[in-house]
Amino acid sequence: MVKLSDLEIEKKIVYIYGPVERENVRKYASISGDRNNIHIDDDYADKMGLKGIIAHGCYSLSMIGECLCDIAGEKGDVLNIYGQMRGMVRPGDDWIITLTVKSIDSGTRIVEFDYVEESKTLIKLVKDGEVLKEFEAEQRGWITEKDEAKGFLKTEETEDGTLHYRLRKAIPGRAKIRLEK
Amino acid sequence: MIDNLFKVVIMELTQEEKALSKKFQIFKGKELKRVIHRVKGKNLVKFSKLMGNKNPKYIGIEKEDGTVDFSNVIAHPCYPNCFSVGDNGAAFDVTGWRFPPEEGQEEGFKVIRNFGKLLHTAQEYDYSTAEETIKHGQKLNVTGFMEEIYVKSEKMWMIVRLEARTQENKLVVVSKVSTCVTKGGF
Repeated sequence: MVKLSDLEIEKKIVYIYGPVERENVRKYASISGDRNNIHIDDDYADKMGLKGIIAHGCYSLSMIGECLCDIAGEKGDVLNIYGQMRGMVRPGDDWIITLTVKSIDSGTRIVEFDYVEESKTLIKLVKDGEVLKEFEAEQRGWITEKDEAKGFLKTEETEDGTLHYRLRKAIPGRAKIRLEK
Repeated sequence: MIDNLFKVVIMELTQEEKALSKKFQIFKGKELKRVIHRVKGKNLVKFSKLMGNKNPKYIGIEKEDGTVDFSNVIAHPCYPNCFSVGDNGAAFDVTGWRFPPEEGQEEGFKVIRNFGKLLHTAQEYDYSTAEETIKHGQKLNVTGFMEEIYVKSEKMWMIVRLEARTQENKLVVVSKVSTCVTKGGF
């Protein structure tokens, strides 16, 4: 739970969830009733040109709902969630959600956020020019020239070597909560 | 908030896109087939747990015998996806809509000719006018209509507005589903 006094305009709150598990995508399909095979069956998704299953946009949106539940706390309320599904999220990805406070009404205790949910897709781990590990993104060809052109490809130094990954926008949107007293 | 966000794009149609959008306007305002959704505590808990939620408000408190008292459990704010989209969702009705039959046709062409070209592009859940919280035991009437339908950037865009109400006619959520059908699918 976040207190009203903890917040100020433009303050950022970051949540990281994941990695997305195939089994959980299937569970989401079952619970939500959205059983489109592109979320369930890798072979079918391959035939649709998707190179494997993708997570439901609403599953990714629900993770933003989860952040809002956490911020609102036990007695607060989530009043509105709006999101645009812009980029596919796949098994193995992390969700990185950054919420930015846009308005605070101390009388009603209503707080509005803009947020961006990004997906972090691991590509490969390299040390001294040698590829130590290839992740599914590399094996299935999920990374495209467009990713490179748009500057989505990043690296990060780790104890085991240089981690190559893609970071791109999955869902941008807005949300509104009422904090508890 | 819910009435503003989805309408921005409508103003940006070119003359050609407005002309292409014209034939679809017979569906604007068309009502969706009503869906009845029974809210079950165990499903509320499953949904919230899948998001990693540990708040008793959303997942209940397990009793010594392993059962959960669902009476105080409320829905995760994104739970309405279970009655908005997907096979059981009210918006799914649109996939069966057809144009009036042309001469010599028994039934008209489908609005969405290729379901594989349908993409879910935006979603909104609004509780700011809700009169009651979604909870175990409710039987919800989910109704809605096609709020906007138009062609832009070679895609057909649809915005469906849904409302879910209890049997006592108390509003629990307003939801908007935005989808698009890519070239060749409409």
